[in-house]
Amino acid sequence: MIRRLPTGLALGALAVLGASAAAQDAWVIRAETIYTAAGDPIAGGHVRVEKGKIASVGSGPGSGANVLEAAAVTPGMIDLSARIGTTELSVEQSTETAAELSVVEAIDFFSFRWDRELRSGVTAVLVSPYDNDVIGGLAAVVKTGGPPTLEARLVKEAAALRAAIGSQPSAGNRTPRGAPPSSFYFRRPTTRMGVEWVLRKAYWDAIQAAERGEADTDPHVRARHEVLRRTIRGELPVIVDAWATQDIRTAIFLKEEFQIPRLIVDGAAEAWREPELLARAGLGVVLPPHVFTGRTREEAFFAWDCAATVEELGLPLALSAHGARDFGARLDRQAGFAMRGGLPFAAALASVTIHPARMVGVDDRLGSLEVGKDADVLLWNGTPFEATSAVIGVLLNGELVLDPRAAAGQ
Amino acid sequence: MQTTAKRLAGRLAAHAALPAALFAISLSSAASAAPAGDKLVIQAGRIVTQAGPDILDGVIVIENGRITAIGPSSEVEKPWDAPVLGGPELTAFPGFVEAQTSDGMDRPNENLDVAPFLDIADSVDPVAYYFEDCLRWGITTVNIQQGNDCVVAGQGMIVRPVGLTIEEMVVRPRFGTKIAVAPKRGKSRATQLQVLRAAFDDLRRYLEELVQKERDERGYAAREALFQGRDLEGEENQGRTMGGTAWKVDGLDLIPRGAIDEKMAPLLEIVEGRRPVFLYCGAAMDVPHALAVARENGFLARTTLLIDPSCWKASDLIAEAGVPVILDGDQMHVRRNPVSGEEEETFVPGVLKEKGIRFALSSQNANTNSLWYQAALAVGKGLTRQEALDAVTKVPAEILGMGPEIGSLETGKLGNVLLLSGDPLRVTTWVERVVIEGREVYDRAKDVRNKHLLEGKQPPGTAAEAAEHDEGGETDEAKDKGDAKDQDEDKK
Amino acid sequence: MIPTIPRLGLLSLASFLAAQAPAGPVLQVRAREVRVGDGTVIPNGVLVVQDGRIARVGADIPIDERYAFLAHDGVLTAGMIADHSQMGLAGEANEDARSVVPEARILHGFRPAHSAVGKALAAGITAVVIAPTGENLIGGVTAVVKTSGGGVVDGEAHLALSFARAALTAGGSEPGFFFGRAEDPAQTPDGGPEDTESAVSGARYPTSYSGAWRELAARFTDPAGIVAGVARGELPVLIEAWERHEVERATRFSRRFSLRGAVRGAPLAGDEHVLAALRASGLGVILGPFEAGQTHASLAAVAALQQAGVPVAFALTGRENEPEMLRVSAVRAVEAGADPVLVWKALTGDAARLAGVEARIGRLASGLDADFVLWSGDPLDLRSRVEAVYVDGKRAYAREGASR
Repeated sequence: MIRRLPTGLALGALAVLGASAAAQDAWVIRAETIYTAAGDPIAGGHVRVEKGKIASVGSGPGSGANVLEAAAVTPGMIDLSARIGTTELSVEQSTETAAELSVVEAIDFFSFRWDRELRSGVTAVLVSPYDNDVIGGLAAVVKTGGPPTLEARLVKEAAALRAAIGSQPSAGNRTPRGAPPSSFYFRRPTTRMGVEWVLRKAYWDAIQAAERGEADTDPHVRARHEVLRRTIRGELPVIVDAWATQDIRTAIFLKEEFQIPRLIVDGAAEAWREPELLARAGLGVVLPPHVFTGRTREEAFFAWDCAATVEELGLPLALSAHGARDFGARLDRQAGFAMRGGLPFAAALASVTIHPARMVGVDDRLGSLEVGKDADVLLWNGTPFEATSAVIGVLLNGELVLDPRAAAGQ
Repeated sequence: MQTTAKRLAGRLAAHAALPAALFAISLSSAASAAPAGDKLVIQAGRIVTQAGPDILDGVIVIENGRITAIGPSSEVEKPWDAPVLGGPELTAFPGFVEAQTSDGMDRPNENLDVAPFLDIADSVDPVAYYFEDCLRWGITTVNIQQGNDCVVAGQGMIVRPVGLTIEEMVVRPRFGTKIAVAPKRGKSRATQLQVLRAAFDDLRRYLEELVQKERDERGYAAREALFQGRDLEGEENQGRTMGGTAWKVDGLDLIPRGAIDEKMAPLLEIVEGRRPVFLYCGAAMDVPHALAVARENGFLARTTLLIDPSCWKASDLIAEAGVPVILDGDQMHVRRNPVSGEEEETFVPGVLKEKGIRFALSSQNANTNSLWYQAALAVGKGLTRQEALDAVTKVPAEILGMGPEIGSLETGKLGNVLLLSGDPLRVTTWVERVVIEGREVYDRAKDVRNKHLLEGKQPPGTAAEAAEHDEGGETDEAKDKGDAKDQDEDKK
Repeated sequence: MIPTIPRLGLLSLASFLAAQAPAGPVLQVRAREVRVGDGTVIPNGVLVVQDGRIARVGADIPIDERYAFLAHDGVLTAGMIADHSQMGLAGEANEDARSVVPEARILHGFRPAHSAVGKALAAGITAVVIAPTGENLIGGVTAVVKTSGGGVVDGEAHLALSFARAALTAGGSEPGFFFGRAEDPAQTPDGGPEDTESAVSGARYPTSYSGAWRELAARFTDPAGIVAGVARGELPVLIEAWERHEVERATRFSRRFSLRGAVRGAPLAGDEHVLAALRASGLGVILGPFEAGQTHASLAAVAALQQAGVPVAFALTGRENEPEMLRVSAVRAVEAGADPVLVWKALTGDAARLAGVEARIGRLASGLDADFVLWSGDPLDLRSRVEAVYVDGKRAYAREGASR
């Protein structure tokens, strides 16, 4: 079904079609260029999707009945730090280290923000608990569209363990009732060193418990220790909110002390400052939205070429828009700003598709246009990430959720 | 009475050799740049003229601040004694025109509700970071008006974003007046409109009384003026029938123009249709009131509406009135549908275009200070490339009454030229050099601040500025604030 | 119900006295219209009350002149039931010290002589469900009480749970602004969060939806005490949930642990996805009271739920002193498209069913308590007045100036 909108009117909520409006289960998308994020771009190619999956990708027009056309096609974008769908009630603050708690029961799939992400081309996000705890819990990868239920949206429940370094976990903390602090154990951290101490102790306890055996411990604590040990075994990445140099360093020191193979720093505005250290540690990096003045949280300075620097180090790089309300600051635009800072196009594409997918272990389903993967496909009216281009069509799980033919009426 | 215009003209003459730049990095380049009155040749692999087809391998000759020749390198005669700027790898483009801003003022707003006698020249800070940033983003003409938190604002001015004093910067002194229909802080819409209407009523009553007194006692007005220390000369000593298309005060020709109170004179200029008005509407509901006030007082023809994005809902009224608009804020109007709870986005320039309204985009929004970016985003959402470029060059030039001077690269126009590393709308394009009226005022190679922003390398010897937290295109807090307006009604 | 806890029965004076009297019809009422409660309207119907209960209802019942007889030129219906309120609790509807208090019984805070109870009676409400607020994860056991005579229909109606934001933010501390450290349940000797809540620290556990889910799931996975009865399906639940995702979560929880009962809150229950989740869970919904600024979506939810076959009842929470709000809410639902017959059921029979007391009250049928109202006209016409209210067969209220 085509909704012809009045010229120039892009009523987002209308343009995002209901499932019933586009219940086709097969589409052929033709484009001047197909950017697969898995190899070289294909000029004059097609992507065929069937039953929610990608059935073929290649040159030539492809065959099939329901044809969509666009200037360019890319995989759906993935944001590892979209910061939507949760509130401050996503974090269990009766403890500092809620490693065993999963965020999935705290996600509001009815929030209007999902649709905003979807129509701007973000088809999957990592949802993390808020950073009020030092270890907030297990983050999950979910799709941004489909029925608002956990079953329909969930891609991977325990995709990463969320932690935070810096001022956020200690913000607002005081000693109890104005009394002098008698012991470190009985209050929440109030400084960076307190935060770091809590984080190290959590890992220390988990390792000690494994050596001693955990027969007597509370089941929650056993589960918590096991989650932490999984991160040490490399079965689970840790994604740490760390913006300023000192916090990125703390993350690196922890990684090295406890031998955590997969550590991702989120925020990471100052990742450009100590490239050697970064390279030595082999971190994954998620960058915050571009700032014209360079100044971000924690007084960190976010140089415009930060993405290019990280990419040159050969580190996994992902970009984030932090769920921007402003259409000029969403994830497609972030990729453009990174290019302005020197990031090559192919790396920019990877940083919003296959890199984030790999970083949280969902690249078997998401992140590139390859046969058998989820049919999350974007249609563009020009070269992706150029400010003059926009996402005009979105397929999610093979369903047309933003119809490019409506935009073509403009 | 000596007008400020005259004073400025005098001071401008004293500053015949205008220093070229306002911040350290450009001072060095200023030394090498041609002094005013001299010649400059600009070479570019491509010239996007905004006045016809692009010129490949082109040349622009600027003499005495104006373009004297433009065309293919093979056809244009280059003065032998002119320095040459540019190269085949660069693209030339006319300087962007900021249709309206309050940036660059030390404080954008006054406490006074009605202050048409104030001059913004007294508030502009020539070393404000904003002007430096203008050059970095290729903005060469800026219309500064008081902020929107007013009823009748002081008199604005058009400047070039270069110079260490206001006199060096000024292009059009005492240009335009901002009038706000949306309520000033602490006012309701009703009191705002009441104060606004009363301002014009007061003017009328004042003029009528003045005429009556003059009739009762010939020479009264001139004597009063003299008593206040104003010696009327020439035109100021002449009376003139009241102009304009709205209400008239009979017998105004009896009053020497110079005898009219300075506090009232700018309002009279507005009613006589001699002063451009920037009429601010903060919501669609303001538009009919704004148009009514403009009609009642005869300044509709000189009005430009400065509109909040939500005013797109009044676009039929705007189109019918035939006034141009400046979009103040984001291009995309985002709101929650009160019934469905879903978020709706309306691309405002698209609506304006469809209704046949002339519009300028401004850089006054959440994500940038840059007009190229605004134009580029508009292309992505459905404007043609030409429409989008016009909205940041030609249309604002026309709104400012400077259509024959700026907005495109043509013989006779001011030599305001950008040299870009690529197409003006490409995301990877940088402003390499900026020429204003034939003088080079910006060179990216010497822009240490740009290097700092790009690579994080703090220029040696520069002090860190006070930290302003500014995360991303918008902060989480700002995002939440924006969203808070349309929170779920789940609790009801 | 739970065998270890004796049921609280009807203790009213009326039934006590009725037991002394000889068997036989004590009151016969004929009304211009008798509305049985299932949509059936009996013109010139007769209701016969015996021993405080309804003996017969019908059209062609001869009047026995030996007994009292009343002719009413108006409408006779069963008394209305407010399915959620804090009536007569004097503000003590919630145990603040802990967020998990399954054994707390709201009935012990109920004052039958409270002025709000009398007002409810005068508005045609003959029974109310008293329940804790949603500020506790497990707030205690609700009760169904009558508005006259102090009768207790059920002292153990549901177990009140809360999936609402309020359960996580109560106790004076917004998450993120703790003064002092909330105890970590995992670090206490017996591991019971219940024992560690904030009587001491000023902050409570849990503070997150995830923590709430874990805590509730733990209690239903290995149930003890009254929770065990709920887990066996003997006692329904009354789950407070407001935002759509909270309601969806509540339905998922109910399905996972095979619970029955109702959701209280859910103003956007008409949303297609919420509706589907509710239908799949078998839970009912208790809506209202509808305020002046209520969105159309929540008014229209009544019709949507009823069309989908989800039982609905109305709450009077927060408006206990304005009991007319119950009927006003119902009328607004009708104006927003709901079927008047179904809406009337929501005020009576379905309300009783959701409170688990449909065998005692809610309809005009023989064997049920003789709780009925004489109206001047159609009760879903706000111009109609309550002329008299009978509870357990006794006249409990008569309008001043009314003919009887």
